[in-house]
Amino acid sequence: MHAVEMLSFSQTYCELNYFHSQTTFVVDEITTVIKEAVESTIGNSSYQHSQINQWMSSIVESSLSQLTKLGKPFKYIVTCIILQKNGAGLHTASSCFWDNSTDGKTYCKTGQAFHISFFFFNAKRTKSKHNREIAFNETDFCFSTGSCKVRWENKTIYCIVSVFGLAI
Amino acid sequence: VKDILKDVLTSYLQEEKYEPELCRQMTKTISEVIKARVKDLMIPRYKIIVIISIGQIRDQNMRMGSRCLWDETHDNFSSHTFKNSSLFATATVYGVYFE
Repeated sequence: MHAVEMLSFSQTYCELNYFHSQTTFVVDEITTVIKEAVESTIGNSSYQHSQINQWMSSIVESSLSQLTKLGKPFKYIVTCIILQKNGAGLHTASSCFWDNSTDGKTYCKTGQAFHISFFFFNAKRTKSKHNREIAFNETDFCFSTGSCKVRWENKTIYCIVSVFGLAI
Repeated sequence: VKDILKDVLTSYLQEEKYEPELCRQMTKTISEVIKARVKDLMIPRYKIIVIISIGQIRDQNMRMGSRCLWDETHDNFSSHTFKNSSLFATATVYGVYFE
């Protein structure tokens, strides 16, 4: 599991009234939350085509709801990729134009190669009007037999979930 | 924005075959290009996230999904998928309003 970027995040609902919550960098907390969501949904299952939709929805939704419970002023974007393990390669990259000091992302792969990346956008008002551009982030999950970054020999699925967190 | 995605993906990947090294570079390049072009649209007060996935086609199944917690009136996304005989590429751009 990689805890990726330094991130400050919080979460916003239209009902929330506080925009002055302190933003703390809690990469581990987020990663834990996400991991739990994934593990509880997928556990040790093998790839089953009929279940994919359900798994995906439930992973993403339970992650989101756990994140909202953290109660911080952020907007979240959660994306999930589920890939059947077949020797094929996959490369993922992301490029973001946001405020480096308040926004961030992370990702994680589970033991079944469910990869989840999370992007957190800090919803807090910032004084800076100028959005700083983030350096390019590349997450390369190449599962081909030639140049594997990650090998999961006894599982049948790869799952990648990304979460982006953006400040309002 | 969808047109930009379509345009960039087809122009960069039309003739390519899947190769690990090439695709690694390609994902970086494409995402930077897309980000630059979307920024050129000069839409004020928007933060942009571009996600590219390039994968090899090998009779495997794959599914991508995403959920967002944001303001529906202002935030949106666009995505496009490109496929040729040996690889597929998905590009997604999220635009989030900066209040």
